[in-house]
Amino acid sequence: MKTIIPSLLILFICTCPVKAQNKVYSEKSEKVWLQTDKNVYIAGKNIFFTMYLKGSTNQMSKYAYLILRDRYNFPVSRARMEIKNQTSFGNIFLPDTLHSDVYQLVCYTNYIRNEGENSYFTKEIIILNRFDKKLERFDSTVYINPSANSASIDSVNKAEDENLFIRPDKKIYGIREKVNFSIDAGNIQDDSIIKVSVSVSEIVPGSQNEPSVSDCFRNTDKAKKAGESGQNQYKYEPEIKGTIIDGRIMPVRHSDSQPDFIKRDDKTDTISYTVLVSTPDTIANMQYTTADSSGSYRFLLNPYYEGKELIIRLKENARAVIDLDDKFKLFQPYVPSDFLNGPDIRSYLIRSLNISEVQRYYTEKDETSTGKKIENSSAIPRVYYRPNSRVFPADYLPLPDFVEISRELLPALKVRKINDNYVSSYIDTQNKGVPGIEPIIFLDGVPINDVNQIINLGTNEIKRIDLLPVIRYYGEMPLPGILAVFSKNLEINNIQFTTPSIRYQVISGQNFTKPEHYVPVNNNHIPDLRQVLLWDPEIKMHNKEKLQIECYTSDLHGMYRISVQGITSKGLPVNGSAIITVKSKSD
Amino acid sequence: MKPKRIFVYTILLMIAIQNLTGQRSISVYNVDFKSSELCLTGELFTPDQIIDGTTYFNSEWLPGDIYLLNGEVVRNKLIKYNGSLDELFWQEPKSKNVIKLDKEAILQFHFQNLDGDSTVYFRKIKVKKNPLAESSEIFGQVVYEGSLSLFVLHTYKTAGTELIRKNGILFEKTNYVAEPVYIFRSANNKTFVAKSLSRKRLYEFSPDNKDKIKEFLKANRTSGYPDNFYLKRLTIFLSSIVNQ
Repeated sequence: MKTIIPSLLILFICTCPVKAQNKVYSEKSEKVWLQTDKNVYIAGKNIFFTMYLKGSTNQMSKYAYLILRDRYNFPVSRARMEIKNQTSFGNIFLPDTLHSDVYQLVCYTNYIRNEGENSYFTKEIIILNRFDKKLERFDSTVYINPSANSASIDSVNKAEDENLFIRPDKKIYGIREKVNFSIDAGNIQDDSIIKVSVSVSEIVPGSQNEPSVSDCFRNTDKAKKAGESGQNQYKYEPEIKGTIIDGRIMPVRHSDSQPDFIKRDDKTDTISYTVLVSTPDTIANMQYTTADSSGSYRFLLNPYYEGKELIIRLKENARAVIDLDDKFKLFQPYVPSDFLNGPDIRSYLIRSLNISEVQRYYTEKDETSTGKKIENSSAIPRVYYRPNSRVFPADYLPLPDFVEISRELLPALKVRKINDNYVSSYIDTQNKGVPGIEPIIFLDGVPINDVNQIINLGTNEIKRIDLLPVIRYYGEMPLPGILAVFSKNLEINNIQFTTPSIRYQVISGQNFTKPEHYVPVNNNHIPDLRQVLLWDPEIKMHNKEKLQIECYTSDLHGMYRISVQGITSKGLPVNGSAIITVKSKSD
Repeated sequence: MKPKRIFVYTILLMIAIQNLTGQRSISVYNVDFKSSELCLTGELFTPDQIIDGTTYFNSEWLPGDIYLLNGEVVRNKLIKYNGSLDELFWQEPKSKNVIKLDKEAILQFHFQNLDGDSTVYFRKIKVKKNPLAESSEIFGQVVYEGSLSLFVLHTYKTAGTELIRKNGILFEKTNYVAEPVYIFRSANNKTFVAKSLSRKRLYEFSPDNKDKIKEFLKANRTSGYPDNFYLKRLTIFLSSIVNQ
């Protein structure tokens, strides 16, 4: 008995951490937050943003996804952001065909998707079309960001949890006057570098403070545990090393037969479907992976493939289709919040439209400067480096098709007709090739099914042929010889694959862009109608430091909010704000 | 008795907690991307002649890391280097086939543990084998890296042939003898190549410092092929007299 009680005690204590492990997911989950330069935009202009990521220190995602969608859930714009030191910034161009309406920005990482869409960052913005003078959408109800309510402009207050002190040199400025303000980080205990984004923009009448980065990162109530959303087909991994592509091989059922879904290895009773990824190129390239027992597959995509059109296909034949996880797919419909109406906001929107109309006559376009993208090692995943022989058919007499080309120019390759199909194989000269087995054939860098797909290509269509009549290995995949044909006009685009295949455009990472800083010009008679006096998406400062920032007021009277949001290199959210007023001397 | 028991339980408790916290750190990110990761490429190795086992730098397959030209590192693969062929071989794990890796893709490779030594690196360097030939790329063992670096090419020369009987069949076997080539390369890419590290040859390296070289050789006598420690000391010494 004496020994049982302590043993039970130990067992009890040991089980506590086991239970706690179930919560690891939410503890280690990520959160994103987005600051935009303003909340009301004109179609044809840019949304500038900075994104902050909070997560586990060494295992944070390298990419985030941003969607701008309308009330009908149509994605107006999509962006893939590269995250550098927990932040990313850039711009989204708003097509000038957008209707005047309220739109939603949605931002998340692949890892956040495990927690369901309630954990995504969302923000509502208004986009106005300059040809929509009536603004009928805003007739009865006017929408503004979710934090806004019908508070009057005088009630604009600072957020309670601010840990940065913003001190403008004055409270009231004249038009076209220099605004100096300091950002004081003396209150931050975290001994690390602070990255902040600064916006000085006109306050939308009736709006209140938006939730700050601190509000978002401290509030974990919305976070759900994995699987609770019920929407996830996959367990999404954080994209730490690079882009992850998830997918599934789905069986196609025929009424007259059983689904030919998965080819099983009799010995091991495992699935041996191989998924190949490649892109049209002048070099034979490939990545491959093997689907698991449920047909699921996963790629850590080589950075070379980013921004390119992929051809994804099964190596083996099957009555199945390849399903690909769409990272930009949102399941929950967007229901715009409708809690603000009144003459103030409508007149503000009309004024914004008028301002854009005047600006159109004087200003050509928004100037943006592009920052550096993260440099990925983007070496092409080559299948081979040096062919055993290379043939340029144009050096010889014209030949009508590949049968003739193989006969006349490629002595190592035999193309024979068996029934109605052609079969190719290398001649085994030194016991190095595999006679009778068709080599892997690449057309324009992409592996195709067989020689029948290139049989009609003649000298006029083919630029180059590489021959490797030896058994090669690409990773653990044996290749019984390689025949690589490169066409003059990307004939790969006309190929119909006989095994399940899909094409998929990989979205490349967002450029790190920001607007050019406004520089005042003496005796400038052009009206300055900027509603955003300053947008700087990336300012680095140290703790205990006081940073001086300056910008210039425009010709527009009104109240402006200086909003500073950011994060320390140790992940502590920081924010601060101040209000300034711009009045002309006559006021 | 009681304090003893408390002590034992405390230890047990600590071990249990440590184990559990250890599990926590690996449970979340355990992803297998093995098959979609960057692949080694090469050709199935089917030699026309029997390869003399003595020409391999490492007679057994050893785990190593292969550094590719694009900056990627393919880690923990079973590799073997043959100095006579100047080829790196990989034992493909599924079929156990021997794959001659594409040299064009490789920048360097590293044996994780060669008889307890984890510092054995081979790097692809450009060498002109004779004045008339164009320079070619060859794997050299990086013995020392500094303002003067030393690479050793593990080459072999034939030392005659002999007839051997195997399974009742007569074979002609070529015998090889190691003939290492020492390449000293300074930071400004000046190269000094030596097949032997004799006093005479080292005098040619720095004719103005014959006394110092003589002194060094007197203090560091070696017999047979010099080991890596000696080669490192020698390179540091030569570097010091060049920089004076």
